[in-house]
Amino acid sequence: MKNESAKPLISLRSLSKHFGSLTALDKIDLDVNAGEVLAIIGPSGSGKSTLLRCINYLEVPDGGTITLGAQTIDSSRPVSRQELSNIRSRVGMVFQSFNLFPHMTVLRNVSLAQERVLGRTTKEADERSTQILNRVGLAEKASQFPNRCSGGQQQRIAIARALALDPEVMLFDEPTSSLDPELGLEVLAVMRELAGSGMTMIVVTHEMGFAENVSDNVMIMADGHIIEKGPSAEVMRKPREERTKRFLHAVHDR
Amino acid sequence: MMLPTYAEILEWLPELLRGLRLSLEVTLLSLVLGIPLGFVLALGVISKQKALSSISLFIVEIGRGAPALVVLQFVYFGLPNIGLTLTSFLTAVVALAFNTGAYTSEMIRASLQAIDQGQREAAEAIGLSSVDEMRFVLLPQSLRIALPALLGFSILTFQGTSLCFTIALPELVSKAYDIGANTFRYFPALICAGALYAIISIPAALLVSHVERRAGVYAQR
Amino acid sequence: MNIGDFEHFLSGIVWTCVLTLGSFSIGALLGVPLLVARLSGNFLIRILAQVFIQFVRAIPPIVWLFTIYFGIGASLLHIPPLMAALTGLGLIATANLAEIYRGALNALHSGQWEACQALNLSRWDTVKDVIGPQVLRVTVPSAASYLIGLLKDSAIASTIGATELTFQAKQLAQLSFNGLIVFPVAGLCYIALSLPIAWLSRKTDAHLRKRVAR
Repeated sequence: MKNESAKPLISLRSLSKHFGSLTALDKIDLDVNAGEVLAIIGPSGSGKSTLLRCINYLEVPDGGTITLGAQTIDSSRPVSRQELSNIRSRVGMVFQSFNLFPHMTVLRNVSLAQERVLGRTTKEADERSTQILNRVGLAEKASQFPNRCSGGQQQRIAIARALALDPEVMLFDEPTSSLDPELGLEVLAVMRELAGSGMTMIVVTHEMGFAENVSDNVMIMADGHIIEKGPSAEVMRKPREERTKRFLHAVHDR
Repeated sequence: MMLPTYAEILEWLPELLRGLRLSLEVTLLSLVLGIPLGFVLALGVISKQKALSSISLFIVEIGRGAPALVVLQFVYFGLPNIGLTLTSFLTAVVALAFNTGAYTSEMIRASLQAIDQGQREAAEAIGLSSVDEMRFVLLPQSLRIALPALLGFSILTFQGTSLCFTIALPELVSKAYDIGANTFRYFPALICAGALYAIISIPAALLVSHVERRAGVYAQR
Repeated sequence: MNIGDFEHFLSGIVWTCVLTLGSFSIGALLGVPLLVARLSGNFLIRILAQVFIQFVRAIPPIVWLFTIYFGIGASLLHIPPLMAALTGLGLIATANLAEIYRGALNALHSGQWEACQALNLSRWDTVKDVIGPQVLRVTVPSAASYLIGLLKDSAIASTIGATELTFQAKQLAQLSFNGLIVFPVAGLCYIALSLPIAWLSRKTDAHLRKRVAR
């Protein structure tokens, strides 16, 4: 399968985050290998999103380190603009509410960061954008504005926007939670294709089907802790922890 | 007769139009200088640095709290005391630009804060610098949101130029007053001036309503 | 500045308050029939009211004051400056407050009217017990905001010789050549006068919110 003997692409050590008296993340240790697809599931408030958002420093952790390849960020030191820029150029993020820029065309949404952050010319950026929009099946929407696209289309454009920067890792924060089930399918299809192409992905989701069938590993979180982590078939079918069993039962009984 | 005769209208129109033109020039300059000032002040007020935020807030509150007339008189009659003597035209522009800056800073600040937090997060996640984030993502959206209020305020600024009568600016009201003083036909002359203001302000107000309605359409996701 | 100046200032402040509150009261009262006309079923009345409001708001206050003081005052009958100012500002306040009332009525959920109809409440009771209190709650912030605006507009009365604050400041500045100090002090007085209004507005709004939840 995937190369598991090499050093992990992402390593989190003792990662902690508090919101006032609430502990969102309690000394989390996690390794994600290159090419691995990790699904993170669990009840609301378990810290799943917080964990994801710490990786690209949208949330500033209160403790611990984040290592991405050769770069390590220690949360006990203030992070420099250069370090931040490095991390964010290597990590792509897809949000639950898409967050496309409504005042720009779809093409510009995908091209903007390529020009401003990667320094590509408009021509280069637009060509690459068209390529990627093709890949997610939305090339014909390039000159339209986001509000003319359905939710599922907007999320696929958001994925394209993140992919355009050639990230090493893609983070997905509940990508289908805002979508009707039907529209969610088209997004999941794109994510499935992406996984198949070897992209390293960490996906916070409620889509149990995706967790079981597409991801390599599944991780359950609750109350800021990792309850269980392992290959998806095992965790989803034959969980070891009681907490995991309870969560999966609750999900299946719906 | 209370109303101006056709002859009088024809006779007075050239001078009145000259005054109107000056009013419009002052309005335009005040807006061109004042709105960017408002943007700077808005950023100042939002800033996390306590000192900058306090000073900006102070300037904004003075600009919004003091009557425009008092600001005009201060610049024209007060500043010469420290050797700063400006022409009526410059005084008008400076005072009204300051007034514009203070008021529009609140509009722009509110519009910046009205932008969904997710927009900032997306901009940060794709690695845009703070300057680029403001330039490409936040400012364009905030101006669209603030547009109706800014246009409405522009109309008020235009009407505000009438106050410059008191600092000897030969704008529209002053022309009408002069005609009245010369002919003792104050009422008809002022009616002409009023009509000219209305001819500009009323269509402008209708335009603002139209923009407001279309902005409502944009605001839908 | 000496004690005599201080007295002039104080008298100016008093007249400023008189002008502000006076014209606001006129507007608050007369705004109601104007609103009724604006919403009238009769096409002509409705159009006339709309045109009236548009014109009053399109023309700068100074033009209205000049028209009343110089225009009418020079030819028909002599009107004292304060009277002319009160009339002019009152006229403008009427048009603006009528629009504020209209905005508040529009903000009201249409379901309120329907509920009252379904309950068979009389028109009078509907307005008195259901619509009125809600409109009042929505109006207070806008009206308070307008009152502060009127406070600042009252300065315009100085141009026709009304002896309010700005007039006194101008006199003082011309006599003693210290406009650099006099005008900022006057400006600060206006700001100080607006503070109780803003405070009262917040208090009233909070109080009404408790009694009239949205």
